[in-house]
Amino acid sequence: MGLSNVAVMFALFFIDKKTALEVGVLKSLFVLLTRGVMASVLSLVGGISSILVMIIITSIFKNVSLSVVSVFSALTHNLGQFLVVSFVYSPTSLLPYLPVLVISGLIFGVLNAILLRAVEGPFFKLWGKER
Amino acid sequence: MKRRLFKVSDIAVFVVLLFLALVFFLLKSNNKGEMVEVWVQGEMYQSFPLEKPFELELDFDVTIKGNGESAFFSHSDCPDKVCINTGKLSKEGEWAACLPNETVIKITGKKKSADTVS
Amino acid sequence: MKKISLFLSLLALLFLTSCGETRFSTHYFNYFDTVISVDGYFENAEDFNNACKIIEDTLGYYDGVFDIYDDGELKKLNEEKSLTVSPALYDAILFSKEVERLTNGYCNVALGSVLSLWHNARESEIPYLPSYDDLYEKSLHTDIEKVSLEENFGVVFLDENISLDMGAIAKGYVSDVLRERLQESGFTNLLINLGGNVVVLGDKDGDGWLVGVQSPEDEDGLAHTISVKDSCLVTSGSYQRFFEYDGVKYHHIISPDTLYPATLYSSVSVLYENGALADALSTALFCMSVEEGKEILENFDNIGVMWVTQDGEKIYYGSFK
Repeated sequence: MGLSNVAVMFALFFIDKKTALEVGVLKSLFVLLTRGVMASVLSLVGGISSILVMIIITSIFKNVSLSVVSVFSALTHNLGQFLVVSFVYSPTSLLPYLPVLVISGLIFGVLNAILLRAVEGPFFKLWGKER
Repeated sequence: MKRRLFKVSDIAVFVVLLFLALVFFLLKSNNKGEMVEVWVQGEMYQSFPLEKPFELELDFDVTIKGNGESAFFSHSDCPDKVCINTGKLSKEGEWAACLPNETVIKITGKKKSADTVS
Repeated sequence: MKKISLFLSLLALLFLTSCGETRFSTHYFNYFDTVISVDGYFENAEDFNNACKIIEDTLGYYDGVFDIYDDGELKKLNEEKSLTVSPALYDAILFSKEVERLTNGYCNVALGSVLSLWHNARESEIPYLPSYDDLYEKSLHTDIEKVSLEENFGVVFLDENISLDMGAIAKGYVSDVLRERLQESGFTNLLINLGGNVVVLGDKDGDGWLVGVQSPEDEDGLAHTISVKDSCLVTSGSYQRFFEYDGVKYHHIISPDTLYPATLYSSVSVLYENGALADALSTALFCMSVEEGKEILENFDNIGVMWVTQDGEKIYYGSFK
């Protein structure tokens, strides 16, 4: 999962929801080509659910910070993937993995947000538009 | 609209999440597992008692080993090796999965019901 | 003093190394059209691999002998009606004739032509039901007495429309060969499950190997678990191999009486030291009433049987606890 959420967040915040979803799907297709079917299903489920969560949060909390949105996006992404694995393979207990899911969501969420803020400027310059 | 990267109120959110993580951590069972279950393509394949060493070689180039204390993927032909990197499992509830090979190993608490099924 | 301490440390070393039995396990998917699993305790990986080699060689050989679909020896016999066969096949046919007598005809390998109609129906792209006329016509050629065993391993079909199908006893028969070969080579604590035919060598850790009998309704559940030591457990179940037609399930155990799948039970499990007989009996008992079954069972010592009826009721006999 890593830092690839930046592209999706950029699309969501500075273009539109549709594009964000398109980027999410494209990301999964890329995973399909490089890591196979199962991995791409995980990416799709995690990706789409995290985008939906971001849309919901930004609609309800108009002034929410980038970090918080990003953190919840990462959390949802992790959770979505975990649920898919449990569902497909075997009903497996979530509890032992929640601490890891939450901490990793926190860390990667913040990192993604920082990265987004860092690339915004250069990206807009490339795009030729006003922020 | 320029969104702020961090707000002061974010601290509250992060603290709550960290607290949740801590709660989950404490709730998580620290019981040493009793059985190792191997599931392939969603079905239970075989199970072993954790306390005795074992080695299971699956057809599609995956090997699962138990050393009497823990169980783990010792070999796999998958590209990522996430399964192997998950390391040694020994507590009830812990699991590791090799997604490309659709194989999962789980540590459970109950004594197993059968060595094989007729 | 030195000698004693050397001796003691050697003893200690011996003790430590001989206590290191490890459990190894593996599965095969390409013999007898079923899943075969091996699970047991061995000194080390090399030991385990040696046992597997014996197992693979035996499975491969007998698969070739009993096969009737690809290019097995039995297929050749069925086609040519008269053949000089391998000692293995000759012995198996001899055994089959004995078993047909012991089971009052309910385990009859000469039922092949009838079974073949059901096999084709089951395996075809769109499963269908064989017609009763066809089944009846084929049933006129199922007299095992018409299979003549000659000198020098010759086998002749006196009725050229006969066809042999060893499916009812093959796995049990092979499990006995496996046990013999493995014991000869010093392997004493393992089990092999040939698609439902379980042969157990040894007693695992003293308490025996736990063998479960699948629950007919619940795929993951067990109807019963029994501890097996140095014996065989074979289960014939209506849920093992079947196809659906018009909403009705047709399984693979065909009653010689009705020529259709037997509907008396969900499963019949036989616990007996001889795998081939256990296999034959589980098939035969599936097609007759419990009383008739018990009459036949009286001829065997130390045998156990469990019937699971269509209603889920379990009936036990003998050493099956």
